[in-house]
Amino acid sequence: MSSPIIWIIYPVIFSLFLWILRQYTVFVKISAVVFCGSLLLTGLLLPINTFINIGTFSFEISDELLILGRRLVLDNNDQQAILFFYGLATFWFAGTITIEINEHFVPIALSIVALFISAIAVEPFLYASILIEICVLMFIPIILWDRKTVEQGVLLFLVFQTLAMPLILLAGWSSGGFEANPTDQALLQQTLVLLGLGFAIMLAIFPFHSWLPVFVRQNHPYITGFILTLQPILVLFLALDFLNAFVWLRNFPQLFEGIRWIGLMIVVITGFLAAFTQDMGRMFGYAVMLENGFAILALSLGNQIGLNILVLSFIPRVVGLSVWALSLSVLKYMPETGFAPLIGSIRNHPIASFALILAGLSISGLPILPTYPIHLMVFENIIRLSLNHAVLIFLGTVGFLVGILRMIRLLVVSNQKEWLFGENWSQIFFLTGGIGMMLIFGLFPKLYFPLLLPILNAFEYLP
Amino acid sequence: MDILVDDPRRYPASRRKYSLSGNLLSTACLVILLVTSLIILISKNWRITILALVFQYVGVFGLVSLIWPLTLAAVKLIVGWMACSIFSTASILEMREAETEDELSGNLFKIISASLIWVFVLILSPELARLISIPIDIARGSLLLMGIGFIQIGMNQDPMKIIIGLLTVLAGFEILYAFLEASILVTGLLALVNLGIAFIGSIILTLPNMEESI
Repeated sequence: MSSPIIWIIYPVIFSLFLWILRQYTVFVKISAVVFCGSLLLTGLLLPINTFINIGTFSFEISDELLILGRRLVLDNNDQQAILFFYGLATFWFAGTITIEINEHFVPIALSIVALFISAIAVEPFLYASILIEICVLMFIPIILWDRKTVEQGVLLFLVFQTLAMPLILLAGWSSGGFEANPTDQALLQQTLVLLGLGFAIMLAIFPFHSWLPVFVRQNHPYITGFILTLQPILVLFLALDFLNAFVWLRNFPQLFEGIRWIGLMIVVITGFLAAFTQDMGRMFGYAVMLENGFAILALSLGNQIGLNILVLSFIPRVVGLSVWALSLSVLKYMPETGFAPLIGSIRNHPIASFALILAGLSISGLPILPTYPIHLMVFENIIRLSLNHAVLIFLGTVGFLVGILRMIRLLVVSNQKEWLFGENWSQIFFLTGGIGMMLIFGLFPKLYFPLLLPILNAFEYLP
Repeated sequence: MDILVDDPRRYPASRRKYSLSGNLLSTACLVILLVTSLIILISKNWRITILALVFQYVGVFGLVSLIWPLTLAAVKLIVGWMACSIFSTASILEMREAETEDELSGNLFKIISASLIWVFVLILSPELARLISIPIDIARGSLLLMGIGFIQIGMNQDPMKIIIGLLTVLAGFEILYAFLEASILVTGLLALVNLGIAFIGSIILTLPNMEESI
């Protein structure tokens, strides 16, 4: 028995089983939650590479699996990442119980989570970019299955993510080449351009961001929310892998300053776009962009504090975006109708509307909500480096907040006098749970700090 | 001209001596790629497009077989043909009509764009070959397909054309990457990516209102 079999192979097999039974939607959803929960528990209880004695029976879970001459390795350092991804999957699949969603979503999403784990496990780590691409390719049919036509956003998503993969692979080869031959300046430039382009396309960084708001606007929010929450986190893992693997890269003097400018650009442009958008359906896409911007700013600090902030930002991101996506799904936001059903929805879906408002304010970084400490830490550290940069971040955040306030205005302005509760009991349960989590993580952020910080153990050479 | 790839740190997968220039096979492959990529760019008839794609993968196979063992290089050919068969099946299922409208100006524009790509390929391939130390024919074939693929993606709104453009870009990349990395796992994963893209293309083609949206 090895850890990749438990956390990669079994989930893929189980997802196939669920896909066969997909017409029993409630069974499939509950089974996926229970299965991911059990994988989470297994990750908590079973140490890797240690003999476990149960009575007279003893066994060891080894950390590697050989596939086609390459290794998949999940050791104790990766265990926290496994817990994070399966925790997220449990949380996300639980939300599907209460909403109408494509029957293919849960089984395929479970395979995607397993592939994400394999992207963390694969050695050399460069191949992760191909696995991310395969995840994208598995994800697109979920969107297309119940559609009558293909939208531009889906095609753009496919094209951009596919074009990013070769760039990352070539950047990896080139980085290795430069490490062997550090005097080759042409190779250095080539590597930096390939790396920059690859990550910019994957993380929807300006000017490659155009697909993101369109993609979100045109598809089911809970389905797109899933991939847009997980995929950037995995891409950030890949970026950390690059920094961890290549000493020249993390010691390159202008690298972190360059990354900071990119982060600033994302935050400012997102703020500008969010403040002036006429289509509130795009706000979810801007929320993902803002979170990416702050994650990149945290990375740009180039020290242990920055890395800590980066991994700590994962839970606020997941909680905020998942509650946002769930609220939109409960409010029956559909690509065909756009934002229209949400106008004045506070009178007929008060809890979902309140959850949506709270999620929006959380991503904006308002106090007592989970993203606030993360944004504050980024802001504090950037202000020490440059006051101008801090001002730009502030302006970007204010721009996004303006967009959220405009969205709130749409939700609350209504001619309807009476209050109706359009949500059913399970929706009220999950939405209240989401609101509760946001408030708990906002008020007591140190609750989740010990869960996330050990993720950095996997990157042994980073500060 | 001989190119000796002998730096084990940078080229662990392919420490071999190549003498490709003047090689009949590589020249033939380049000609195939040149012709097929142009047909894919211009043709509006799905049968001709898919047939050109079939021959394009023969060209890719020819170039990759100069670097890899024939059995491994055959993976590219088989996967490419599988992708083509997925496409053609979906097209037949949808009874996709041949679009035979003669748009002279559009075709002329595409030919001019393709000619520009050829010029860029001729200019850039020696530089790429020097930078990555790869044989110049590999650089030419790779850049040609990537360039034409980019034009195909950028100049079309038809999802099928865009998907074929993506496959063309990937084919170009795979020629290049075959020289840099000879891992079986990567070959398998890239094969999965190609088939996945073709599969998505087939789903898109069979969507109920697809004909209206094109």
